[in-house]
Amino acid sequence: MMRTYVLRRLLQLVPLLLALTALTFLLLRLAPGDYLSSVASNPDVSDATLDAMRHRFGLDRSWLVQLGLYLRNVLFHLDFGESFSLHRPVFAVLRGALLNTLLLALAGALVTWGLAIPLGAWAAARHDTPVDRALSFVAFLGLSVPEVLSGLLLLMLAARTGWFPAGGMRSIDWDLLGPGAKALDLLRHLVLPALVVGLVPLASRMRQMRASLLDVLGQEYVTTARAMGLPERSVILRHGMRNALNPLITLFGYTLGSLLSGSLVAEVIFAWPGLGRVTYEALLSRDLYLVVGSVLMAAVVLVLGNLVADLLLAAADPRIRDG
Amino acid sequence: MEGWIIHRPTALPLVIAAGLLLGAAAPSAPPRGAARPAPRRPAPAFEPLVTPMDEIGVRGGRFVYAVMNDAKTFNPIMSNETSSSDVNGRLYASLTDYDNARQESAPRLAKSWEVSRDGWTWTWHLRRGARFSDGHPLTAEDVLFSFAVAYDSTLHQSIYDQLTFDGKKVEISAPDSYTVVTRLPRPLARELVVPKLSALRILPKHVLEPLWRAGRFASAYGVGTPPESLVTSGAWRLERFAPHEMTVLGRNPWWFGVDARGQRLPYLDQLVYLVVPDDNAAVLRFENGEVDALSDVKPEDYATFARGETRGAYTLRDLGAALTSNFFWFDLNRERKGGGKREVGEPCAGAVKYAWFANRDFRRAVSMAIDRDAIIRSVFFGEGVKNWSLMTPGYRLFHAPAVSGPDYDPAGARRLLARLGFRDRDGDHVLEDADGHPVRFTLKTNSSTARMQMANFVRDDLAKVGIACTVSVIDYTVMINNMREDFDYDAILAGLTGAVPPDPGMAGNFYRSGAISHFWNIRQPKPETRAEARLDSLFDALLEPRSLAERRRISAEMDRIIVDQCWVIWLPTMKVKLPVRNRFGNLHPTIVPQRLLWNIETVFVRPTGRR
Amino acid sequence: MADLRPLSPGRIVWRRFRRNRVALASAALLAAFYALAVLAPFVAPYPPDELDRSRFYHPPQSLHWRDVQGRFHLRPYVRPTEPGSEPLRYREDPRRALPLRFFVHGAPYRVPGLGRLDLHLFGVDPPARVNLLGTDAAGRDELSRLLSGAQVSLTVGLVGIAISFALGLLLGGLSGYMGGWIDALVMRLAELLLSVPGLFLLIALRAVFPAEMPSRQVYLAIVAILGLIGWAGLARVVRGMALALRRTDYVIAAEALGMSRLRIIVRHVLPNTISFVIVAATVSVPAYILGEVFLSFLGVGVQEPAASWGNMLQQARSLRVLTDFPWLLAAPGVALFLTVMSFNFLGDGLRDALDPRQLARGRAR
Repeated sequence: MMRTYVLRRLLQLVPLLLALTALTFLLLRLAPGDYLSSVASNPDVSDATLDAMRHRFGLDRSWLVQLGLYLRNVLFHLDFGESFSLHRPVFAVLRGALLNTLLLALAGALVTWGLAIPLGAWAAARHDTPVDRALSFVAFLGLSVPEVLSGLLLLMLAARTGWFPAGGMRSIDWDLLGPGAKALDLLRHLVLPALVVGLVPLASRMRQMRASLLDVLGQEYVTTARAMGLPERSVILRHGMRNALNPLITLFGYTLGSLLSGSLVAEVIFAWPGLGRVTYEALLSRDLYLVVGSVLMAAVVLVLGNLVADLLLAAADPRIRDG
Repeated sequence: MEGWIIHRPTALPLVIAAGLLLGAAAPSAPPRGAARPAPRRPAPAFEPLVTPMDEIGVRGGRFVYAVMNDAKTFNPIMSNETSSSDVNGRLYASLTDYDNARQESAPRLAKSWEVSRDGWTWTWHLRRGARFSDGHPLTAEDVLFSFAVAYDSTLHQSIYDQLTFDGKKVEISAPDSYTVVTRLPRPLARELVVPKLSALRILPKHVLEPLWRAGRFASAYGVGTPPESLVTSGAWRLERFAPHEMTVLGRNPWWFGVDARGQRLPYLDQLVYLVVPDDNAAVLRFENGEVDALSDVKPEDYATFARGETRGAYTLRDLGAALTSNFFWFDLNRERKGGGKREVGEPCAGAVKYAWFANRDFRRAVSMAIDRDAIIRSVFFGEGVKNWSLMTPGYRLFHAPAVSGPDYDPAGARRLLARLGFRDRDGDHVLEDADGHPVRFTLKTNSSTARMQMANFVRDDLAKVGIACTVSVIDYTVMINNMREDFDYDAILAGLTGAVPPDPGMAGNFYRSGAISHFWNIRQPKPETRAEARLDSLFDALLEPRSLAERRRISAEMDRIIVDQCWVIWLPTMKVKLPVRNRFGNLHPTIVPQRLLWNIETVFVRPTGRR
Repeated sequence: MADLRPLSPGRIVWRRFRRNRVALASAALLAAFYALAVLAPFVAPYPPDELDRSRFYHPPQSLHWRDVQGRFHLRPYVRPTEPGSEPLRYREDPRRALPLRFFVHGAPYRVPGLGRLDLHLFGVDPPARVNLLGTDAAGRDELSRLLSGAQVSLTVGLVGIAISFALGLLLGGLSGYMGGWIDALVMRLAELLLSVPGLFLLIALRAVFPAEMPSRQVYLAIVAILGLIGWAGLARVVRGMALALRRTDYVIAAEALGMSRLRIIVRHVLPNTISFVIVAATVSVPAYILGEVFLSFLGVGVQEPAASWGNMLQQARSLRVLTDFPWLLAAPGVALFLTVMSFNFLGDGLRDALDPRQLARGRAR
């Protein structure tokens, strides 16, 4: 039952990816210009060279033919093409950047959830008091300052105080460091971009936690526990938290899907070598197969994240599992 | 910050010892510590390149250079953007080098060269005992191989176009292992031939020939190549590459450059290209010492840098006017292919606008409407100069100070427009031409802050003389496509950056009427106007072997024609200032590309800087 | 259900909302912002793209009520300035006063329905100029640009959510209620749309619009398209709610009575999601506003010379501005901050006021 469900969802991925590939090809074709236009900005390149390159890359054909050839290579040879500018297979280019982005995104999620759960619980325990209001104000602060600004300010802080490196992922001497020092170095570089990434969704997660706990605290068994004279702290921790966390687990599953998006600003400002920058540069230079590869990869992660979320939801809520 | 002068305790004393052993006379011993090669040929005497420099330095240290993008390939033949060619210029040697300070060619792999009396044949004498980074000897064979690969038309890279003259290749032969003879398709000015042929980077035949024969050259030496397997011919070799993070170059122990004491160069242990995509972040990282040099600084930051000189132990050096010129032009292209929405021969901007744009006096009036001083004060924070040519004041040899174009004179512009029959007939502050068409056009530019701001001033200036100009900011790729493919524009504001050598002969794509960067009317089968025909023949004369004085006169004559015709409306050029850390010796920033790194082999860390 | 109700739900909600002072203040502030945006050409002393070549990077001029002798004047004045000895520095003349005039005639602007007007809320006697929030790199009045930018930045969110929520509600409700292949189809479509990176779509779309089209219109059109594909996230949530609702007694009863499915969705399923939707919409508006900031950062937002808070912030996002011309960062920064903050507090207040469980609790008391 469970297995067939997962299998069915994974099978549904196939048409999604096909449609996405077609859409990406079409969209790239909608805008005038192609990869050769960026090569052509170098005035030394002659028309003959451009035409020859266009032919070699297959960009002189219609988008449908290009799409067909691409799909044939993918389906029969598992060949996702080469980046025009790097002369390298697409996934070799994306792999390293993917890991870096996942690292940043997970660190950001840690910031978000690590703060959201205790703060949300605190706010719920003190709901409608000044503490509650102050907490939501602080959370909104993170939401209301655009990343482009908070990133720059944090970077200035880092540069002027020397508490953190002003961007980058590793020190230049990273290779020479021992394993412990390597981890520490990475961590020091990770703190500020993770803060920028993590503080944005904090407000909404915190409010969800607060609402969820408030919900649980209104339930009868909690009232009963209170009536039995249990101290409030243990009511919240023992009975409240466990049940309040259930819906948030599902939510966490959904955010898994969007891990790959939403860190471009932090990547640019903090010189983090992530997927966002690779994709963005590929997009600007119309590096077709690199763009397609990156879109597909993000889609797979998204769908898998959603699948996990749905499974979690099903585990938590029997109505849906049976329905 | 002492953190950046870290030495590797094991490698350094060894290499220094080897360096001291090398007398300038006959140092044939390979440096110790490098892998021992198995040369098939008898080892020739070593003819080191004694590199001229101000101060004799000491070895060690690191130089961290902030860049916006990293290399896309370590294959110099396949690279076609500057972020790759900058790094590849350090990794691979060429026949000659360009001395940015003197603005002339200097020996590199070729220790000397001469030209035949008729100007067609050039003979290059290669340095004996030169070796690749794996210790393999570097000979004429490798130069021939590199030419052969560059001329491989199946690879389709820009180097092919750089090494051909009027579409014709250079004939190359090697009478012996240390002589290369090149026969040009036409006699050319010396100042052009030497740097142009040196655009070719020398690749190791013993490594790459099998790959080339197997048809796998295009993906060879990509950024995924393990650093230790990259065999280089330049002063540096690849130590580490982390995509979008950094490129670390280490010393090539076999490189042929030495200082006057016979010490092997480069002095620095490491040259690091650190990718910093955000320019604010780059400034901050220079300030706090994580970065030693910046490739570009915006004029708005000059004041910030000037204030921090003492604290940051650096000097803000004024390099004078940039080699970049800014201008806009009107679309005078005509449909040549047909089959689209226009008939062959139809003006791409439409008949009405073409009639305005094609009128020289209209273009003059536009030029007279532009308040260039305001642009300098606002866009360049006062750090700019007026400029009337591709040869900006930064081109020391070719700038013609006597040439200047129609400058700010709004009253004159209005009079001129009135004389052409442009009048505001309906009182809406916009002129109409004789047929009643309001004078409106769109000025396109890409989203670079300086260009956008300049376009704003142009719009405001033109509004004051009654021309309604709309600024449209578009994607760079789309703009390139507009100006080279579909001609879907009225006017475009753009800029051209200088190349090496800084010589008008390098800009044939701009001056020639048949060329692709003759922006206002590209790819003309034959010159459409007499002025353009004159420009073509002048440019041809400029390429020929002549005295420098004569070539300068020709260049000034070309400038004068363009200014007189107002095909492009010139805008100011910014002045360049770069902060240079005081602890580095021999660091001489220049305005010519590779501003800071052109002599990086001789740059060293001053011993007083160590703690 | 109705017999226990002492007050109409609307009045309960309003009573509860009114008690939340922060939310009330936020609503008032937003109302003021929107009013200013509508009246922008009248409130702004100058056109947003008018250059002043004698006042690049002019600092904000403060209003004075007391003159040199310390006497109080009801009519505020500013002090005239002239270029100082250093470039981009200005010297204030403490002896002269430039009184602020109200309802002055200035640069003309067009009002739909009224034609050309030239009345401005305030100004000073020309040729002098007043820049209460300073000027930018080209000597343009920052206040006028801020107001003009508000028109874009405050509208994008409304346009975006109007479209995406209408679609999201309908498709989500349909999907959750009908189930089966409709559900599968809608959800797969939602996944497809969620997987298309918005940025990528935007760059592709930007290039499609004609270059002559004003940047603000291009941007609104793009936001509309983003709204058209942005329904997916909401649809998923609404579907979940509909899924739960279709098991409820009154829907089952409605089905038994033979109501059409669409009618059930519109009359019974969707109204039950309304409180969620109102709150979600309120907190989604800032996402579009901040989205424009992000796009300006990448250079694909509203383009110069048109003003938006995003492109103003982007131009001010530099070290030199931060140290020497901080007002350029402060103006759009504070405006954005207050707007986003207010929308969130408003959303919070609405959530508390609309929460059915709290309503129930309120009733029990």
